[in-house]
Amino acid sequence: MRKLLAFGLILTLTACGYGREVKNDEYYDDSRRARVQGRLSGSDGILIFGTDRSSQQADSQEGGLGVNAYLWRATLDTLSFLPLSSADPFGGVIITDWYSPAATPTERFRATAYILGRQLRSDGVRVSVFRQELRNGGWMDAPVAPTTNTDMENQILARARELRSQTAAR
Amino acid sequence: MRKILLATTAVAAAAVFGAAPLAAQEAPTVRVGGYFRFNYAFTDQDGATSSTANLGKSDFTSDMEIHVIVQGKAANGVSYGATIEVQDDQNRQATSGVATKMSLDTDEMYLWVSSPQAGQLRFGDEDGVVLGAMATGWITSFGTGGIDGDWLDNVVGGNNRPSYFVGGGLVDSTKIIYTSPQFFGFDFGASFGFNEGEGEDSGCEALGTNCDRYDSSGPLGTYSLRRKNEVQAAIRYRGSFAGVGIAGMAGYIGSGVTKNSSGLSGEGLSVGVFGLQATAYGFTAGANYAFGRANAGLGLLQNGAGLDDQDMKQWVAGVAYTFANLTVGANFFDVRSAGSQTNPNERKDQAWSVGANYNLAPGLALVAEYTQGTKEEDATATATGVDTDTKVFLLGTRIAF
Repeated sequence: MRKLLAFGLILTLTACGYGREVKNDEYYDDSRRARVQGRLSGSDGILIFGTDRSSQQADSQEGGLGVNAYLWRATLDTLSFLPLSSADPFGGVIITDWYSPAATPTERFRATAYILGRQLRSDGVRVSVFRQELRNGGWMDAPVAPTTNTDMENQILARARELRSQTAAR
Repeated sequence: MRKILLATTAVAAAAVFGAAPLAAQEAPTVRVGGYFRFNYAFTDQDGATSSTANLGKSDFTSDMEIHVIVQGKAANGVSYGATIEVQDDQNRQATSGVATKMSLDTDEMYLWVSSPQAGQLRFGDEDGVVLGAMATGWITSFGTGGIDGDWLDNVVGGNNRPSYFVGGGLVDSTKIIYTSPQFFGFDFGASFGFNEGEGEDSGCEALGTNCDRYDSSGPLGTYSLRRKNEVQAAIRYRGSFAGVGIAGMAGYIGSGVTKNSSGLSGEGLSVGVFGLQATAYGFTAGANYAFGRANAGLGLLQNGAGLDDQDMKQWVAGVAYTFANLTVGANFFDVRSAGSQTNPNERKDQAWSVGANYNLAPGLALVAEYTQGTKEEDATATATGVDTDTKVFLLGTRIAF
């Protein structure tokens, strides 16, 4: 009974949790077809009914983006704690709105990220973080720590590498 | 355990079908995929001559699969779909009462529903979580798959085919499978099937040991070892460290067994499976270790005084390297088991393989592969043994769309 409750609890937490959905192509496939690299049709099978979204998805992941898809997704993930103001997937520009942490209501931050190309390179992303402090009832520009921008860029690159490895390991 | 799985399946189903964030609806799509291969095989095997017939060494063989893949997404964020795989898989069954070896049958066929919050449920004929969804450490991406490739299709006689298992190693018993979302690199799952049978119906017309629901033999009946209440559970990790992709899996396969009311019965499966693989710079290396109550190839053990009922132990390892359109690799297995239970000696099944495939175009490849396998169990004064050696060279082409 305890095992039942424990396992049920895990699944209930799962239902309320923050997990990432595992796609079908991340599961092992023992068919002989799965052992052949690539598809003559360019996509997983020939579409005989419905609308082909694979090309649209491919466009949105690579061709439609003017920048590297892993860096783009990693930047969005890393900056997700800030409210998004605008995101241009063709130019590779992400601009956030001001965000004031609850613990420090007298300061606020915003960030601008530039993804610089289609390749996953260590110099492929630039981040600029801006900070303001509340003084005399008005927000005034204030300096950020010198390593903040680099730390953010490293965080994005690490996330991009993780996304790339997850894809390669399938 | 069965109650746990059924209850948690209900919990997961409630979560899957329950409230979920709004998401873009996607009308269902239906795709048809396929596979065809042609091999030249040079087979040098023991047991190729007898007083009634002799075997040559060369042969051409072909094989095919057709996959129908349905997928869609509801407005409540629940994805759904079905997969039906039809294959030419009637090997060695061109006998009386059975259609020729060119007959088609279904391999896997299942329906699935999935939500980002609750994970995925699959219903149908599938491998489960240890031998299917989360299988890890079996490297078969070169040639035709090496020790798990096409070589055994060409070998005549069960004693000349070493026994082992990798992903897909049990028949796809009709079952329910749950797999979780991924948390911090981890996902987990479990599967359950009442009986060993797969497919549409009861498996029999008259009451007998071939019925899917066959549970025990009567006093005058014959006895057949079959799995009951098959359970698989697994947890998997995937992540990267310094650019190296890592995947690891720990799993358990357990089952009950049909009973014999007039004699010796069998033992259910109780096997632990551990897999690990790493990917970097074009290399993929992996290993899988399995041990527990089973015979080689996840066969069931019979119990009783005087029978050899030692546990099965299996190592499988492999490595593959991909450079541009070329993939080369090697793998092997080493299985120690009871083998013949009337023979007290340990049985040793081993095989190793090297191979390569070259992609002429996406979905079109040339393959070459060499595999050697042995099967050994020393004879005793009262029990026969086995000592066979098989070598197969394959050269072929395959296409997938």
